[in-house]
Order: sequence, then structure tokens, then C-alpha cells
Amino acid sequence: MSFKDIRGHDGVISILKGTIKKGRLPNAYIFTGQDGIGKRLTALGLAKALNCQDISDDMDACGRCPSCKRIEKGVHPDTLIVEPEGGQILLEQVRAIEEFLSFKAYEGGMKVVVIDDAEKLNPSSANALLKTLEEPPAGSLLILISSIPDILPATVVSRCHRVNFSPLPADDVREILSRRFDNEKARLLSLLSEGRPGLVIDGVQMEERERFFNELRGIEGLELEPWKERDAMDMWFKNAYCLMRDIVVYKATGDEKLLINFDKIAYIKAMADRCGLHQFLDIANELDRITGLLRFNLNKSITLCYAGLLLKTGECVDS
Amino acid sequence: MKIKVEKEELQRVLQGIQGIVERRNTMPILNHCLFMVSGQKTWVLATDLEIALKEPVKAEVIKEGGLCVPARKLFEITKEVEDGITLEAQENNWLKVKAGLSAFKLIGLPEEEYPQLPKTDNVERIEVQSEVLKKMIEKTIYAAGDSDTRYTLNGLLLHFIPAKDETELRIVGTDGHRLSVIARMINAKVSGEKKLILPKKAAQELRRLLEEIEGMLTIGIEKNHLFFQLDEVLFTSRLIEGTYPNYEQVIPKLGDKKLGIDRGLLIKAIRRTAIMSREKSNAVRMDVEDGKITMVSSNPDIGEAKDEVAVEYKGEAVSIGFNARYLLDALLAAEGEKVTLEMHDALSPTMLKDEADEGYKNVIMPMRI
Ligand SMILES: [Zn+2]
Repeated sequence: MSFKDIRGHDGVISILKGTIKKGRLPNAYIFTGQDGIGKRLTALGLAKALNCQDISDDMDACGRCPSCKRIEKGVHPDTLIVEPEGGQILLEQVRAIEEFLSFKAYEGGMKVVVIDDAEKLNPSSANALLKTLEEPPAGSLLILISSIPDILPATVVSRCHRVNFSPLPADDVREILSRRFDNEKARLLSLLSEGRPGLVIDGVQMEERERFFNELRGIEGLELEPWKERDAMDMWFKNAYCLMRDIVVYKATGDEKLLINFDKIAYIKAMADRCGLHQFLDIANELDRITGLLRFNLNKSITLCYAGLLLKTGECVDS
Repeated sequence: MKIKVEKEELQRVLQGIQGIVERRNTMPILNHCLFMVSGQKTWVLATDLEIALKEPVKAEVIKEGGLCVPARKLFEITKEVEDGITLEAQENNWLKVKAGLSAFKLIGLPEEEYPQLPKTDNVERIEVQSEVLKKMIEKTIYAAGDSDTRYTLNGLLLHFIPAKDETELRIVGTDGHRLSVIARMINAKVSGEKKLILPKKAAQELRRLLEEIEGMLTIGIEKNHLFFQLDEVLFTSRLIEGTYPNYEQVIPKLGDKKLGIDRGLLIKAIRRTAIMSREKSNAVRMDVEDGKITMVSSNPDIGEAKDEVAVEYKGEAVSIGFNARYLLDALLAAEGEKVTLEMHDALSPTMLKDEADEGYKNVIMPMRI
């Protein structure tokens, strides 16, 4: 994807283009902002622009030349993408970056290293990377990407030029999603995405939501299997919170058009009848509180039991 | 793309690139070689992103085109089939291989996915005899480093110095403990002084290639690459980024104690003495006095050794410790019957010169013993 295909980051992109045009690229960037909003796409767009054999007057990659194609496929010799392995970015991965940068560019453009989820650098790899950031080899650009840059060592962040990315406006998300999904689904996914199309585009969130609604019946008898992974647990709470949100909105306004899970209207209506607005608000608040605690390694089955009970109470009070 | 090629020819070419395509597995495309067929010519290109080799293939061209082909599999096939091989690209990047009654289909990749060879537009060219370059690499490569952190030392420095109508080429290798430098005058001109660092692996591969082909070699100098072309064979290497240490500073100016020694006798004495050295350090001590060197080593767990070599020397006595491996590497690379050791004291570097090669110098740091 070239810059022109990226939605919702016009401001960031025009600054990047200006920097290329003036030839005043820093040695390292850190792209910050929530997951799923296009930081990595923009980083790759930048890598393409810096290596494109047919760059446009306004500094955008053509997307068609061999160099652009190779970056898109992840096979460009001068672009290196580093991601966590087993939850961490390891020292040997940083050594591989050093070796990659120790050579001059193969195709004669710019060497670009993209480090995704950079907050996953472990202490020794962050320390090793610091050396590269302090003495960056000529002709190279490092792009760190992180949704939680604050947990990176300040020494690392301070050596990178920081670029902040915001979630996308709903229209942009709809447009991106409609490249892949039909209208109805694109609308639903864009509502679920909270401005972060990258989170829904693979369809996983959609599947998890279906499973969540299917399993709600099971909660009544507390027959749920605990989640195997953190991600699944996070998504479950997201879905539960989103459902409460819809019930509260529907109870307060009676307007179907304001719902996120608009395809589950019958279910929402039925649940909304079961108890009062303030009780649903309490449940929503409690779910929100637990969501905030999820990263502290809560016991999964106790957490599920408690959250299940919450939803069950909501269902049972008035019925 | 469609060509007809003899088994022996295809096998020779594929054999020559196996060392390059098998080295790294990070990108699937690098397990492939690229066949390029245009006009009446067929080429095979292989690269591991550090070095690349492009070789002509004697083949009958039936249809032009290009395709990336899994190099190892095609090599295995070539070794087993009958003579008279047809390679034909088919839809969706398949390669059809036919020979006699055998037929294979291999999954290839589109030509455009292959890493492009660096452009040769802005290349300065200089000619040198392949034999000269091969010797220069042989006499310096053992001294180059294998460091994880000082990447500039993991290569050979090619230092081009303009000198009237000629060029002085110096090649330098060092790992920080020893340094070897060789200088030759080349009958060609360069536009200005140049210092380029050729990766050690590339230098090894180039030396191997130069053992097979001989003649006038063209060195192409570009900002990121070096090219070596002999007839139609093109070898390219990416250069190492960074500044090579100032090697001239390391070469001792003052070696007040000059020792002339028979090279063969010295090699034998060092080899014998080193048997009793501690394994890791390889340390031997040289006690120099009028007319002889006494060489000693000891290992508290095993025992000790002592040997003697006659030298042409008259002057102050001196004792210096060395890593025997460093001395041997330098002595074995030398060619003359005699070598000279220029020493100062137990803390200063010692220089080893080859009587038969004025342009060849080795500097070896002493060891504390
Ligand atoms: Zn392009």
C-alpha cells in the first residue's frame, strides 16, 4: 500500500512526505497510537517511498515498480520487519538488525527497519538497540511501532522522532472495510472497530462476537470454558461491554439506529426488558473495571465465573 | 522461457551457485536462482543478498523470458537425468523440466520477485590480473575478524591510492590482534583515493571463484557495491557500512631489533612448541639473543616445551609472547625462504616481513606471558 491508499492519516503522511522531499529524515521514528489504526501500513508506505524507482512528484511510491512490489510482499532486501517472537523481541533479533544495517544498501535506496510492537523489546534487546540508535549507520532508518510506548525505556524513545496516530473517523473505516466486505458487514465491522480497522479486518473479532452471543445462553448455567488466551479474554469483555452499552442506549433512547450490534436487535430488546437502566449501568461499570484489571494476570476461570454471574444477574433480576 | 541445455553445462553452473543459494533461508526467494533468457543468451543469477553471481549458460534458446527456480531441486534433478535437458516456463510460474523420458514440474516464482542486481551505471572500472587479486586476498583474509560488534573488521579493506599513471591497491585484514597488509601497483587509473570494505564471506567466495577462472578481471567500484567481472561472469558484493580503522597507524615505524630467520625452520619450531601451549591462548614465548631464538611454552596441566632456531641477529636480548596461531598464519601466507621479524619490546607490536614480497607486511600484537 502506498501513502495514497492509506486513510485517516493525511496530516501524518503530509509531514512524512515533506520530510522526504527536504531530505531531512531522522535516524529513527517511533509511530505511536492504538493497535489497528495503520501505523505499520504507514511505515511500509514510507519504506516504499524511500525505495521506489518511480516516485511521484509529491513523494508517494508508485506501488507498481519491482521495489514497491517486493516491499509489499516482504521480500525487499533493504527492508527488514521485526516482530515479537513468543511475546518478546529477543536480543538475537536486535543482533540481526545490527547485521542487516552493517551492510550498505543492496538496491541502492534506503535501508529501513520496522520494529512492530516495539514495547515487547526485553531489557537486554532494548539496551542493544540503544547502541544502534546512538550511532545509526549511514543510509538507514529505524521505525519503531508501539501502542504503549510509555513502557519502553525513555532512553530509547528519546532517540526517536515521535509521530502520533489517532483512531480513524467512521467514514474512513467504512471505506477501508468496504474494500473487503459487503455493505452491511462493513457497517457492522466499522461500528465494532472503534476507529481501528486493523482489529476487525481479519474477521477474528466477528467470529468471537458470534461465539460470545451463542455462549450467552450457556452462562445461565455457568457452563463456559475458560479462555485459553489473553486475547480471547480481552475480546470477550469487549463484547460483553459492548452489549451492555447497546442495552443501555436502547433503554434510554429506544432508537435502534444507535446500536452497534444492530444485527442482534431481537436479543437486545429481550434483554433490555429484564431489568432497570441503572442495573445495566452498574454491570457495565463493573465490566469496565474488570477490563482494566485484565492485564494483571487474573485467574481466568474465577474471572469468567464472576463476569458470567454479572450478566446472569442482569438477566434474572426482574424475570 | 524455453531453453535446451546439456546436462554437464547445467550441472556445472548450478554446482557453482549452491554455496550462495543455500546459505540463508530467511526469504524463500533466496533458495531460488533466476534464469534470464534474452536474445540468444541465457544467464543464471544467484544471490544471498550479500553476494551475487551471474553466469552465462551455454544453451539453445527456444523462447525468451525469465523465471525463479528452486536451485537445489533443479540441481538434484540435473544430476540424475539423461543428457539433453529442456527447461520451459509454464503458466503460474511452473517450470517444466524434460530429459529423455523423464519429466518434472517445479514450482517457481515470478522473475520480478528476485532481488535486482545493483545497477552498473555509475561504476568506475579498473583492470587487474585475476591471479594478482587472488594472491592479495589469500595473504590477508586470515587476519580479518569475525566480530559480533565491530562489523567493519569482518571484511577486507580495499584501499585504492592514485599514483601518477598507476594505482596502488592495498588490501588489509585485521581482527584487532593482528593485521596483514599487502600492496601492489596496478597499471590503471582511479579518479581518487577510495576505501571500501569487502565482507569476509564475499572475499572467500571470490577467492574460490578465482581458482576456477583466470584472466584480466575488471573491478567495478560503486558506492554500495564492488563488481568483479571476468569475461561474462559477474560477481558482485555488497560493501560493509562504516569507517575502517586507520591501519597505517598500527604499522610500527620503529623496529630496532631486526631478525632474519629461515621461514621453514621457524614454522617447524613454532608448531612443535605450540603443542604444549594452553589451548585457548596458544601462547609461545620467544627469547631472542645473539644468534638464536629460544622458544618456550608451558601448560601447568600437561608440561612444557622448548625449542631453538638460529637467527641472524646481534644486539640487545628481548622476550616477547605471541599467539602461535597468528605467527603461523602469517608465516604460511609468506612465500620467501627467509622472513624478517622487526621487534621493539614485549609490549609493542612486532612486524613480520616476507623476503620474497616487499609489499607484504604482517603486524602481530604481543601477548602477556
Ligand atoms: Zn515504486
